[in-house]
Amino acid sequence: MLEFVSQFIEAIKVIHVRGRIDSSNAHELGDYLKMELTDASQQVVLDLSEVSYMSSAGLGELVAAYRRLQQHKGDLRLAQPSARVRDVLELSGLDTVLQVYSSRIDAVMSY
Amino acid sequence: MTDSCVQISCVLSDIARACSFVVGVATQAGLSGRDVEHCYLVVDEICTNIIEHGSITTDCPEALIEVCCYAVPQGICIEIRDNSIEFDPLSFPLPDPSDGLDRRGDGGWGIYFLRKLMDDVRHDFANGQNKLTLVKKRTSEAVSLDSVPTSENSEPSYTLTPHLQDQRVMMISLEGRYTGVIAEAVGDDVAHLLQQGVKWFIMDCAGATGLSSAGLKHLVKLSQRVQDRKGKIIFSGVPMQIEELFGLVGLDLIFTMVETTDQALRELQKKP
Repeated sequence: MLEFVSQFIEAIKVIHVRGRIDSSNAHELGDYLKMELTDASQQVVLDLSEVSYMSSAGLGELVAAYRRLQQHKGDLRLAQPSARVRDVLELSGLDTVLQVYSSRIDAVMSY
Repeated sequence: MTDSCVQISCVLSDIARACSFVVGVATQAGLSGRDVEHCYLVVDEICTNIIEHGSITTDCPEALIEVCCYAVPQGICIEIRDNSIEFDPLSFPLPDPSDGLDRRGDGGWGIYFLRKLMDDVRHDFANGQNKLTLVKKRTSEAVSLDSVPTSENSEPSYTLTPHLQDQRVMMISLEGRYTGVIAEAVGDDVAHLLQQGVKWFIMDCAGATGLSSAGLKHLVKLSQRVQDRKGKIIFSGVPMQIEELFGLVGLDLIFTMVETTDQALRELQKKP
């Protein structure tokens, strides 16, 4: 089961995710992002430092959230993915679509 | 079905069992941590595809997926069999990672990972059964379990006691270096407890000072044995040098680790 903690740093919404994201629980990430991001113009940082694994199901949820935000001038940026998650982001080319930062503070400051 | 195969139900929550099994074989075959991770990802993606897209004509969840895995001279071979509609992933057009979001479809990434991360892929369909054969070769980064660093030689031992707050949980407390001899004894005790119906275990590693290659191999088997009985084992207080070793060979993908035994208990008591 995934765990989420959401907080604001100034106007940026920072969502910390914890767990392994695969096809059996990726919907939890999607549901949470839909629930939390009711303001689609929101600027968001997703802190992935405690996500130990992500399959394509998780990537799909990231893309869906990013698309929703982009349509309304919002944005989703990723912070501190583990080497394993970064590997999957790079394989799929998503690291060139989504902005990825090596720390939460770098991601927040990038806005 | 042989010891080198597992069968899983056509439900997403059962896929982790197949992945863990493959990680165990890949680790023992000396694949590098990164290669082990790639095997985990590919088995996860393929089984997900079978369940989400291939099971339309079968009687899921009764239908089964069989995953076999064994060492070959150059690495490991994984075979995945299912009785769903014929589907050759090699014939599927691959998504392009250089596409922007506007041109990017939602699917196909699992097959992309399969093609990209495995060294050889073959699909056969015979007698109403898909068989996907994958080969993952050992790379130069490979870690031999025999090169696992050793540690100081404090007298190794272990104790088995029911958890004070929850008698359903058995605590395995390690002291000293976890060697093959100790690991074999722990494995025998756990097998006996599993037969008696105990399914939840906490392996408290706070007193462990090191891990031998044989100890590591036995841990993989132990974890597999507990999973086969639908049980759970949580590792608590794992010293940093042992945690690094788990990460090095990809075992952190299948081992659940927490800091304290209290956290381990809460983890076991969580609803699935």
